[in-house]
Amino acid sequence: MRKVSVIGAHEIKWGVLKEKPLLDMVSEAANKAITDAGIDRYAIQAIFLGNAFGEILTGQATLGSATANILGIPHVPSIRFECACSSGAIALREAFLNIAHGVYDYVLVVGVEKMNTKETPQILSAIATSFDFYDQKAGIVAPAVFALYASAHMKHFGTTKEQLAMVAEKNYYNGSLNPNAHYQKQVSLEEILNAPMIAEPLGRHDCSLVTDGAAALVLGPAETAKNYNSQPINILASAIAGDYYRVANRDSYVSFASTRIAARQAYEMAGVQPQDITCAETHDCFTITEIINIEDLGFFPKGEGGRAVQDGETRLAGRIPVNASGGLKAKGHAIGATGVGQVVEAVTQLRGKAGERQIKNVELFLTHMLGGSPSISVIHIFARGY
Amino acid sequence: MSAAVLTGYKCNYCRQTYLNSSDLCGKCGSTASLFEFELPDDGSIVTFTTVWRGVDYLPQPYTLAVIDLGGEIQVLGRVKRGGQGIAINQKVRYAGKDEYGHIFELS
Repeated sequence: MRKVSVIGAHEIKWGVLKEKPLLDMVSEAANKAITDAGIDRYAIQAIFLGNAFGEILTGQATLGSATANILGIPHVPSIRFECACSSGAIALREAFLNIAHGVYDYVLVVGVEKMNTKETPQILSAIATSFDFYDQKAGIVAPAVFALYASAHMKHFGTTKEQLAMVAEKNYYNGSLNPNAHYQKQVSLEEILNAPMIAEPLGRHDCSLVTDGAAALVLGPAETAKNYNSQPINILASAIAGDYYRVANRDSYVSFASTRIAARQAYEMAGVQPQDITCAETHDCFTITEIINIEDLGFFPKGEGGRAVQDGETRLAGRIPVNASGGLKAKGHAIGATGVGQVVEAVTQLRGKAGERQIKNVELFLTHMLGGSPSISVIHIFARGY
Repeated sequence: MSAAVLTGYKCNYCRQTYLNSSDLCGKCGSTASLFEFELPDDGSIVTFTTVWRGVDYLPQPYTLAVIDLGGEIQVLGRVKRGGQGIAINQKVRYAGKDEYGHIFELS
């Protein structure tokens, strides 16, 4: 396998972008990533795009072709990947594999989602299509899935609602330092704890945002990366694992098996240990999700994620900063774009260009996305290639 | 609401259990091997949540739980609480199903 680098990265400012057409979002992210890469667009041999709800929320499918056309390279093979929240991360992984195995040299990866096109119940219904048909009928919505995990984690490990709130408070703070974040204001613990209940024990501030966003990357072989960009970022690992789709079929509600399995694969591929990771963007669709993930990724022992958050170990100046971008909680959750946006944060941090939220001495950056019920995890590990 | 008997399906070859019938076993691929069997009425709550902002066709709030039925199978269902508290490991009994899914009540 060849080594693969990210040579260009860009994301638009995320938020509620009702006036910005979907393909304008794609065009802005992709064109600026191409500019960042310093590559001629005609050198791009394939486009891999992550998007979850194009048909349901925008009435536009076949976004691969639409993207190639709007970028002026209509004959380039351009494919859309759908795996719910991990759609963008899957597109990245497929690009990585194609370059690593010599199928293509230069691939454009795009993640895009336009969520705020309908009223909230319709948006929630769209998100619920990520779950099993019978689970949907039974009344499952995204907050309910992760509330099942929160109840179990609190029962088994004594994790508290205050610790959940501290995840949100931290990520709101980080988002306040990110000019591309959907939500850029701090929120107090008291306000988070007193928010209306959505699915017990998760309140409104325990939930990620409904965000419109787009992000793009240009990937190429590591051996020629510096011909294009003086600060390429190498992909040390790409891993993926699954889990039972129906919510009731799980062996555990305090852990995500797909995260544990993918993490093991990723660390082995990169030749590193969890304690070697400097910082991470992890899937925090709900506050409990971040707590469980930082345990399953091996950053903290099982059951101690809440304590680690309480002790500040995941804050910007902590032992392992998590979701410096603001995460899904504050930077926002533009479903199919989120996994690509995480990598834009990794590139920005590794290049030392994250401004006020810059983490010190970044060496190894891990990105992690869940998808589905959650029935899939995708993990990548990055390091400087210069 | 139908009679309170919860039917499962089991593969005669690989013993995989299902809540919904099918023409073949998804796990081993054998055909004409799934047979109906009656699942236990009594179970316990593995985990639960009360949903305040959920699907629009159910009165809110509603309580969803993963129920373990005697170690045979786990089922996602709604729990009728009747104003009572609810906890993990609490015992429940199958109460039937409606067009949306299975319903349990606290024992």
